[in-house]
Amino acid sequence: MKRKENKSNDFLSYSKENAFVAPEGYFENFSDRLNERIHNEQKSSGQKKTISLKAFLNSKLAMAASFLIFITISYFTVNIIFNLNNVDNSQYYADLVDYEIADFDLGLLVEYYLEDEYIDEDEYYSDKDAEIIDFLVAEDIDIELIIEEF
Amino acid sequence: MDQSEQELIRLFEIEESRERAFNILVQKYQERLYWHIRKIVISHDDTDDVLQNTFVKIWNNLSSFRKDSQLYTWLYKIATNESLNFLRKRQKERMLSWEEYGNSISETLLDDNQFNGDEIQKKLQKAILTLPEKQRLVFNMKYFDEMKYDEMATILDTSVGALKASYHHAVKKIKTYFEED
Repeated sequence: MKRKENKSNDFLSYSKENAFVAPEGYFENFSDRLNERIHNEQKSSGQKKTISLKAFLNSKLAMAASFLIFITISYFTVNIIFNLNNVDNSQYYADLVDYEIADFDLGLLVEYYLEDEYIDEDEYYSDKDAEIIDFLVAEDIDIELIIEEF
Repeated sequence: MDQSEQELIRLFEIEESRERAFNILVQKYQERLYWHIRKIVISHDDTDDVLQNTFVKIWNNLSSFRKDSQLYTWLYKIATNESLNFLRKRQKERMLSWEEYGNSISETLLDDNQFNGDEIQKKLQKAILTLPEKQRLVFNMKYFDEMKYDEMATILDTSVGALKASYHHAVKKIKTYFEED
């Protein structure tokens, strides 16, 4: 047991002398090799900077193209929103006709049809709108004439 | 930081004397850092790679070195991180656990003609390679480099208490390794 303990403690009392060896002349040449590497890396980072300038210019072109695409999309988006607002208007006018039929203003109706000429009728016209059109047709009132008048 | 180191950093900040200051720094610290790295990564070729990476990092970052701390502590920290990153990268590439990777390094140690130690020294290195990462580092820095705990705490970003515990565990495991063999 005592022998075992001594054996395990050997390394603590043993010389801490370095057992590794470096190749001969290694430290004499190290700084030269290191400087060579640093110079090469600086050179290649300089080349990278030139490439990045190219990339920067390309990115400017890409930005300009993106801006044009953004403007185009915005234009169509605004148009769609504007048209959707008109749909809201149609609902508003339909309600107006429904609840305030006595004071029905043909001008509003005309304004509504003028604004909504590009809207798909099947999709956006309410039942109330259809009723109004039916009423005008039944009374033989010329819608085109009303539009022209206003 | 002593006056000569402050002067060295001042020279490094001037474009004209930058390279000269850096060469003085390399000459001053290359051996200490080499042996520190060598004890972690073991093979000479790997140590050479890590030492170069360490000095390239020092070249790129010396301007941002905080002058209120010790230069050699900062250099040791970079060397330690570079060594550990190297080992982790190798370990991942070979898809081995830390323990398995330690064993594979042990095998190369036997073949390495750059190791001049006797049987006990070889056995001690093999025992160190069975330790977990932190214990391995702490043991090397305390036992071989005889570094103070507070300096080690700065380099390894940990407390003195944790370092003492790591060293205690490391010594215990190495003793057990020697007993069992």
